[in-house]
Amino acid sequence: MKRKYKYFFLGFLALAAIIIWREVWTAGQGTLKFWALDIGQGDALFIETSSHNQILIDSGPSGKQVLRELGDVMPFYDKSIDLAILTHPHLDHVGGFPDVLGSYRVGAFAGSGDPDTLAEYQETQKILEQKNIPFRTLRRGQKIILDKNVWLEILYPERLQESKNVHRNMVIAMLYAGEKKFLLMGDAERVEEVFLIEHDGARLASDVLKAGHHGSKTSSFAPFLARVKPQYAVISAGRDNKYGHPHEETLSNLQRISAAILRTDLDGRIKIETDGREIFVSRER
Amino acid sequence: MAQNLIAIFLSGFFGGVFVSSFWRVGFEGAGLFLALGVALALFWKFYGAETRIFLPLGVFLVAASIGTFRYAQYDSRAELAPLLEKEGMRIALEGEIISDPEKGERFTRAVFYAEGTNILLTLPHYPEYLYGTHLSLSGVIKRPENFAKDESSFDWPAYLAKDNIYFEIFLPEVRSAEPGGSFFIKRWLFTLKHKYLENLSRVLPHPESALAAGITVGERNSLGNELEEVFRQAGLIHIVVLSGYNLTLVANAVGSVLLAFAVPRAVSVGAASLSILLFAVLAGGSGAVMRAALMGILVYFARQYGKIYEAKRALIAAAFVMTFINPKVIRFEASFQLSFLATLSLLVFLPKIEKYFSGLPKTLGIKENFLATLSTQTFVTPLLLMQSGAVSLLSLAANVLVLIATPLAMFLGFFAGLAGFVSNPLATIIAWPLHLLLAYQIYLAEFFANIDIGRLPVSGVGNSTALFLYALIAILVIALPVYREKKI
Repeated sequence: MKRKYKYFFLGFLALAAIIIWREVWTAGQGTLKFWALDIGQGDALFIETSSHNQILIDSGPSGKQVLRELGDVMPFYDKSIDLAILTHPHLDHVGGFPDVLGSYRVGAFAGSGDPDTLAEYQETQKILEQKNIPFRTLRRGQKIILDKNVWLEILYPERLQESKNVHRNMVIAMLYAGEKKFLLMGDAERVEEVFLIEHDGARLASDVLKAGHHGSKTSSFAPFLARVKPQYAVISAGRDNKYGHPHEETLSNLQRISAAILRTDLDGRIKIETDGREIFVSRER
Repeated sequence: MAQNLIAIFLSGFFGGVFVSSFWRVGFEGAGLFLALGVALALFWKFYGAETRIFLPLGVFLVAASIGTFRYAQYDSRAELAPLLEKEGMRIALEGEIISDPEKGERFTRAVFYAEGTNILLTLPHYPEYLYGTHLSLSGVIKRPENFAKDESSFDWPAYLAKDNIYFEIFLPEVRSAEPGGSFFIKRWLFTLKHKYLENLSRVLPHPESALAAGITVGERNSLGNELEEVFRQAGLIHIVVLSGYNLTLVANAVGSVLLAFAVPRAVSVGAASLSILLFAVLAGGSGAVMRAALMGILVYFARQYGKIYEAKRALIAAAFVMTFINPKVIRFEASFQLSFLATLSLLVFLPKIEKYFSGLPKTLGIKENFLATLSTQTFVTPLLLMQSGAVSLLSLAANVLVLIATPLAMFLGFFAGLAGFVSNPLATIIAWPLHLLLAYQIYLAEFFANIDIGRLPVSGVGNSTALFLYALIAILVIALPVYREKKI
């Protein structure tokens, strides 16, 4: 009996050693991984930098789906996320956060700070307060350093606007990873796209575009796409969603600039990996 | 004689309830049975020996009248009348949430008590309303309907009826909510359970955390429809629901650990039974859970002390009490039927087939798992056939392989959840080997669910076929020679 325990203990130590050394060896020399999670109709993007800094941008419509996806893309022993960002308080973006905040240790939470009465958003704010998770207000011009040569630049909003449409206070960000750029539009629409064209112009050129508003025709209009000219366009939408996302017009706009279209409703979870020079895409059903 | 009369009384009672759950016998029927029964008993009293047959008949009828009466009383829908008039209309109601709300894939479901009846509310996930919240709301009141038209599909109204729910409100408008009502101990228990579940989800990824929640406290809805279907197809769904057998496993584990430390048998058996109760309490102490706990303790005692005969009687007595409390379980509650049959099989069938499998290895509990699975599956399969119309031939193999890991997984899962109250790092360390076991079980479930060969789509297994199969099983049980029962 005694001898058995010894082996258990040895096995446990070996497992711990493997996990710890794996972390140490792979830190800082790997690639940046970007996932568009398959969470149904909504948005949830997960970024892991080469030193395993993890950022979750939006959480999809409900906790179960995003927890399942995070369970798949993160190692089993990893129950922490360094930064969570909410682009705007709509159910299909904030719905999973109450459960994510309950299951993962989240280092900090960031968003536009738009006040809204949506119950899921209120619950999220309540949990942030209970757990003492710091909240950071995002405004144009801010840079969030994620890793060596990797940062997020906030392009929008410049300031909070009073509007009935929550989309007017969208958080739009550009992810820089070495030479590669990911433009993350959230649910931004034409108004925001015009703003970006006026203020950023040629700087909008990107390798990956997370197309605005699930590929709806309110977004991704031709002059904007002409500036961004992405190699890949990611559309996060639910299978057979009732809104008809993505719209035909948006798809043909994207085809016209010859972007490769990646859709979560058809391809499932999408993984984009980059070492800062090249991009590798895989579809994980 | 007295023993026979008790048996006759019980069959009369169960018969009355059984018949009542198919046809509306009502108070009139109960009165008729009672009058007939008393008349027959009086006959026997006055005419003596020649009319001996009348006594058992009288007892049977009186018992049947009690069963019928209890059913009619439980089922009396007088209180429904005021709401029935308003069916389909938008009405304002005030009442309390009397269940632990279940968070589904898209909506939360809660039982709401207002105007003297239970109403099922379908609510958005947030804001969260807990057990005991006093709500004032308005919504369109409806009677539950089946979603699909075909016969074989799940009977939603009947499923709700067993909990005396005859109305539904879909997405009511909540005007005000005041938490903190109803029974304070239950409120406290549900809070404890939620904390425990959060502890698990903090140290385990999904879906392993959901499986841990399922096998330790029977929390099934966190699993998600997809994975639940996987377990169902592999014939493993019962391990996710807290069953009497699961609880016997816990008790065995606790008992054998204590015995290994030379704790006296009586103390270790007591502690093991206590651990079953603890699990049941954490699981929310609902009717289904308490039934599972009671049956778990019965089987554990019987196997520890070899008192199969006493345990059989205790099982029948337990069934009597449970049926008296809620007479609808007999026909409408699958969990009651399944756990009763499974427990019965462990008591009457397992001891008789044990000797044919003496060659099986005992390591890792292979033999015990195999025997338990074989006997419970034999007893439960006809019922499952009747209810679902499909059965997996490979489920025996799947069960044996998955059950090997279950006791340790339950044990570790329970301690990881409890450790989370004290120290997160400690819970994390326990969670590592636990994760391995749970991932193994999920892998197997997916593996077996994806095999098509072993699945028999059986259509048209009706009541008569199931009854025939049960008759066969009964003959088998009686015909098999009595295996010497172990005395301590």
